[in-house]
Amino acid sequence: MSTRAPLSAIALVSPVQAMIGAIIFLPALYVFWLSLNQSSFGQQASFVGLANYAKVLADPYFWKALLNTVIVVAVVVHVELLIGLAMALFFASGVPFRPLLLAIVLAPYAVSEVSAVVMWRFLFEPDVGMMSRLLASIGLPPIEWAVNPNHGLAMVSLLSIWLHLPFSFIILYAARLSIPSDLYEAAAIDGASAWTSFRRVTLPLLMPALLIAALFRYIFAFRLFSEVWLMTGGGPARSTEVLAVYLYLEAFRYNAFGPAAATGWLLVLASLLLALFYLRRLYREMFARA
Amino acid sequence: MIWHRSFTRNLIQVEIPVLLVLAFALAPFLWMLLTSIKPNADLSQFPLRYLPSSTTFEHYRTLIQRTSFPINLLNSLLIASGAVLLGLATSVPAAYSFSRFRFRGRRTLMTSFLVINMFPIVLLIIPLFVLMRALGLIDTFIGVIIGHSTFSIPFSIWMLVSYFNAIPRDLDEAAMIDGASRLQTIRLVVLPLVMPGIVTTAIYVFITSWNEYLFAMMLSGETVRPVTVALQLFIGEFTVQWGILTAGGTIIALPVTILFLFVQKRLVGGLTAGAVKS
Repeated sequence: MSTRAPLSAIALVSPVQAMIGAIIFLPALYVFWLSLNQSSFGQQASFVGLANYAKVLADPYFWKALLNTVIVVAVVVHVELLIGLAMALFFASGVPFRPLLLAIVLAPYAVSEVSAVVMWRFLFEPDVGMMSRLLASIGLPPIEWAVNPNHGLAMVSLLSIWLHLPFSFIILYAARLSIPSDLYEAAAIDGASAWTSFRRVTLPLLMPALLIAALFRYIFAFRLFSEVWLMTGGGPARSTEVLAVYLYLEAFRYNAFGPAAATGWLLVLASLLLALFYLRRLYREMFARA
Repeated sequence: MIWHRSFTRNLIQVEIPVLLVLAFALAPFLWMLLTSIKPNADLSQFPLRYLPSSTTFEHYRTLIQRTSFPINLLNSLLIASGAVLLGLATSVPAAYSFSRFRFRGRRTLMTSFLVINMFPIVLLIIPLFVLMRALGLIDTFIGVIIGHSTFSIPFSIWMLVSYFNAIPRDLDEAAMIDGASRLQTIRLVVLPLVMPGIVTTAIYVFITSWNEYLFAMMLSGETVRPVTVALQLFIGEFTVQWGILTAGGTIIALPVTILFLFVQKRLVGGLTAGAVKS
């Protein structure tokens, strides 16, 4: 152990600490202070206690945004985990041209939200979109994401799944590859069917990775902003807002910094609560079955 | 008959899933690319025209000659490069220190980087806006670069530390016994070995910064506006001109996707290691 120079060690770490402190840590504290004050552009802040939280919690648009967020997050995370799991098992069972296929499947991870919005909007464009025409040819109406709030949220979910599926998939795939193949051989010798070996071998051993993927995706999906902002802008009539969009509009359109800051902390709190609840439930199920 | 059965089975179990997976991941991207090189007449043709009747770069030409897109591209390039330089200049020494020294608070600091990753940027936009305005950094390269490099620090550090840890300490010690100073050891022994990790991290920071939208939108005016924000404005401006929009989308997405393909394997290794070990 070369432990002789703790001073230089700290000197090497300090620039990173300074940046994190100035750009993330102090602002986070400042947001908390702001959430207890009434303030706006060029206005002196005045202490109002929890009034901002009360104001936000009494706003029907906040509840609408929270509901939208919870629905979209639940759909996106579960569908992603399900498809990701299926794909992980599929890839592990041996696919042709695996490296190439893997590269293609992971590619959306590098695509910016703005480009993704252009792709998906054009696919579903009511007049000229390929998907709209495909839907029309089997007798279905086009998806009117700009008019119908449910369609708008469905498009947002689709876009979100497309962008983040690589993340869920790769975590589950790595975990699946780390399961030793002897276990499957032993199960096969004992006469286990494919379904039994999935239930008794794959699923229990993948559970930690599933939990981690779920936790990460819950926390990240909860801050969903760009997809909604670029797809619907929260409209029509504020019906597709999610929490992050609500926060942004409060701050920069209605110039209400206090309520916006309170929303920020409520967002963090809600995402943590949901993630914790979900994790506990999964853990319990895991141990009840084991 | 056995051949026939296994053929159908193969079709259901392998070929169709492969096609589905390919279609979902690739089709939107490919369709955007195809659209961007189609003449305008092809776009509204009925029934749908899949392949262009003739290849054209007119949309790209319009985008580059008639709009601010070239400047936005340059801005994005400057911002992302700046974020890479600043990010590496601070993360590499820190990662070296985390890997080679044992000091009080080391573990806490490492964990705190993971926790910080959980903080949504959207929570920070108000204070960051206020802070940057007070410092006069609104609509400046420095402001956006500092933000982007800071947001990528946590992941960079975890990634780099695992690369530094993979180099046996015996190598450092052998070099120092042979009379090399610590700096020489770093320069001649450690850095060359850790270079693949540094390149991977650099590309990660570049892609994240290039793609970032929310912070850039909030902080940039006309002077430093990056491509992501510019394309979003074009979506409002050229609503029905899908040729131009898909050309813009392609220019933004294609280069970084290719860059990503080069380091995909290593990045994924770092990502899964970070996620699973945490």
